[in-house]
Amino acid sequence: MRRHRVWTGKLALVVMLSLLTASWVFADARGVTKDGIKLGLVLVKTGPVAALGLPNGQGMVDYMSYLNEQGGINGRKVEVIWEDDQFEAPKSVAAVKKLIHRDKVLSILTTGGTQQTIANLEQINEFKITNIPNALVREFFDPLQPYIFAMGATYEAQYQCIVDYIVDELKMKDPRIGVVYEKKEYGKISLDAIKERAAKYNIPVVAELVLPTGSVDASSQIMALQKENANIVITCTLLPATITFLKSGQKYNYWPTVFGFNWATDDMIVKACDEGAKNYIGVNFVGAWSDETPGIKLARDLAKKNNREVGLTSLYINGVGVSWLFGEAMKRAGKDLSPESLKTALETLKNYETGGVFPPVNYSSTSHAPGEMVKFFKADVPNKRLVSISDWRKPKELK
Amino acid sequence: MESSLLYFVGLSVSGLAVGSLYALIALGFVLIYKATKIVNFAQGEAIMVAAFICYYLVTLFQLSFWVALPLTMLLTGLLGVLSERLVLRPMLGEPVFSVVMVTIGLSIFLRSLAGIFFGHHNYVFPSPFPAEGLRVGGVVLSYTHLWSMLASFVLMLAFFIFFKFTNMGLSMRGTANDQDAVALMGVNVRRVFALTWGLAFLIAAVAGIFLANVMVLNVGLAFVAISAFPAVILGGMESVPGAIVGGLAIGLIENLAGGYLDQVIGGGVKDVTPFVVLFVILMIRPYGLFGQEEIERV
Repeated sequence: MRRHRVWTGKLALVVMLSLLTASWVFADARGVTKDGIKLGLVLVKTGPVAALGLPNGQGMVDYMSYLNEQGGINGRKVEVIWEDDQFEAPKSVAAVKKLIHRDKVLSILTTGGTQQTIANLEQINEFKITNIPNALVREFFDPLQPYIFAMGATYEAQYQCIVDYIVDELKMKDPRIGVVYEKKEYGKISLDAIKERAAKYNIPVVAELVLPTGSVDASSQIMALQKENANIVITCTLLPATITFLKSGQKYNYWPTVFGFNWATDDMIVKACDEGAKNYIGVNFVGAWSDETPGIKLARDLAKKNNREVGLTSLYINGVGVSWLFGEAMKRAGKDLSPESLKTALETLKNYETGGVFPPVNYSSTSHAPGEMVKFFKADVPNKRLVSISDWRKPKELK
Repeated sequence: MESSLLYFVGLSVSGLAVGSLYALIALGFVLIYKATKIVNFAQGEAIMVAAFICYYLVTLFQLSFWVALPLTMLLTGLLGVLSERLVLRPMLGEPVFSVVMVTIGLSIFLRSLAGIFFGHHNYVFPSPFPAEGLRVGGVVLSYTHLWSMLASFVLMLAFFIFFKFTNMGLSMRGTANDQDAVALMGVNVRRVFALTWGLAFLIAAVAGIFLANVMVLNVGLAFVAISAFPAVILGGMESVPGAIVGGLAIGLIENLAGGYLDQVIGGGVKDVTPFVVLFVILMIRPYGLFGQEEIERV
C-alpha cells in the first residue's frame, strides 16, 4: 500500500513538471496571443505640453486601427494602451512599469521625450522594450542602445543642413546670421552646431539671443538683431517662442529669412503668424501635411476618418510614421512575435519607404541611428500651410 | 534721432508695452491680497480660462471681439464670485496658509477643467488688432500693446476712484485692515470677499485676452502669471498704483537688460533680471515701493 502511494506521488510530480515545462515552451510571448497583440504608448495627454503629445499619440493609435481594419498583423489585432505621463519622468517610469507588469504589453511604441526615455533606460533594457523615442539626441544611438531606435535627424544634422541651404540655395552676398535660441539642452546643442558649421563657410554669427518658451514678446531680440544687421535668423526655439518671434518681427517690419527646426516646423506657424511667416523656412524629418505622397495622404485620411482635431499636423504625421515602422516590423517578425523578434525585425529595415512620411529608414544590428535627413518647407501664407521646397537631404560632407 | 538713442527709446517703449501686460496680471493679484491678505495662486488659471472663453465666443459663437470682450469679463467675473462662494468661503477664519493652499488646489482644478472643456491643443486667437506695428518717429509699438496700456491705465484710474470714493471700496480697504472691526461696523465681509474675487477675475479676463493676442493659446498660458509676480512685489502687494508701476517697471528693466546685457554677459539675462529685482526689493523694501510698512506697537 505504502509502495503504491510512493509511486503515485512520483507520477504526480512527473506530470506536474511536464505541464510546467510545456507551458513554458509553448507560452505566448509577452503581449502576444493567438489573435491579439498588446502595445503600450507613453505620451503626455494632459497638462501644459499636451498639445505636443496628443497629435503624436493619436497618429500612432489611428495607424494601428488602420492596420486592424486591413486584417491586423498576421491575423492578430493590435490593441494600444496609452498612458499619460504628463511629460514628467517619474510618471513615465510608473507608466512603463504598469504597461509591462500589469498590462503585459509586447513593447511600447514610444516612451516620450529625452528625459522620460533616459529615466526608463534600465527598464527598457531589462524588459526588452523596443521603442522609438520622441527625442533627437545622439546618446540614444551612439553608442548603440539595443532596444532604442532613433527616428529623426539630430539637432546637429538639422542645423548643418540649414547652413548648407543658406550657402547653396540663398546664395547671399553678405550673409549675417543671428541665432535665437532657448537656454535648454537642445538650444545649446543647436547653437554650437550652427556656429561650427557657419565657421566652416566663414559666415559670421553676429548675434546670439535667448528667447524662452512662454515669452510675451521678442522686441528686444528683434531690435538687437536689427542693430547687428542680421539678414538671416536661425531659431532654435519651440513653436510658441518661434511664433512670438515672427509676430514681433512683423511688428518691427523686420524681414530676414528665418529658419527653424523640426519642433517649430508645423502648419500652426503659418496659421498663427499669417503674413509674419512669409519668410519662414523650416526643416523637418517628416513630410508636410500638404504633401501629395501616399503616406501623407493616408495620414490626412486617418485624421479625417477618426475626427481628429489635429493641432500640430507634423506630430500627427510623426505618430503615423512610428506606428508604420512598428507595423512593418511586427509583420516581418511573423507568427513568432516576441520582444526580441520585434527588435530583430526592425533591424532588417533597409531603405524602407513610408510613402513620404519619413525619409528612407535604415537600421541594422549594429546601428539604430536615424537617417539624418530633412526636408525644407516654406510658408504658403494664402493657404495657411507649409509646403515642401526640397527633397530629403543630408548635411554635406565638408573637409 | 541718433541711432543709439532710438535704440534706447525703442527698447524702453516696447518694455513699457510688455509691462502693461504684467501690470494687468499684477492688478488681479493685488486686488485679492488688498482685501483678503491672500495670494491667489489661481490668478494665472483665471487668465487662461478667460482667454479660452473669449476664443470660443469669437470662433464658435461667431461674436465680434468687442462683444465677446465684455461678455468674457462678465463670465469670468462670475467664475470669480463662484470660486469664492464654493471654495474660499468655507475657509473663512482659517489660517492664511490653509487658504493659500486652497488657492493652489483651485488652480489645479481650473487647469484640469480647462483641459477637459477647452482641449489641450494650441489655438490661434483671432486677433482684432493689426499685426503691423504703429510707427512714431522710428519707435514701434504694436496695437495690442497700445490697447493693453490703455486698459491698464483706465483700470488703474477706475480702481483708484473705486477704493477712494465708493462705500464698497472703503469696505474693501477696511476688510483688508481688520475683518472683525468692519464686520462689527455692519460691513458684509462675505459680500466684500465675493466682490473682490469677482473683480480680480474680471481683470484677469482683460489680461488673458491681451495675452492670447500675442501668444499661442493653450492651458500653459496660466503660467505667464509667474512673470508678473516680481511686479507685484516691486509695487507692493496692497497697492493698485504699485501694481501698475511695478508691471511697467519690470517690463522696462527686462527689455533694457535684454537689449544691452544679453549679448554682453550672455544669453538669458533678460529673464533673470526681474527676479534679481524681486530679491533686491525683498531685501531692502519687503513691502514694495508703494506698500506700507506694518508697524506694530507693543
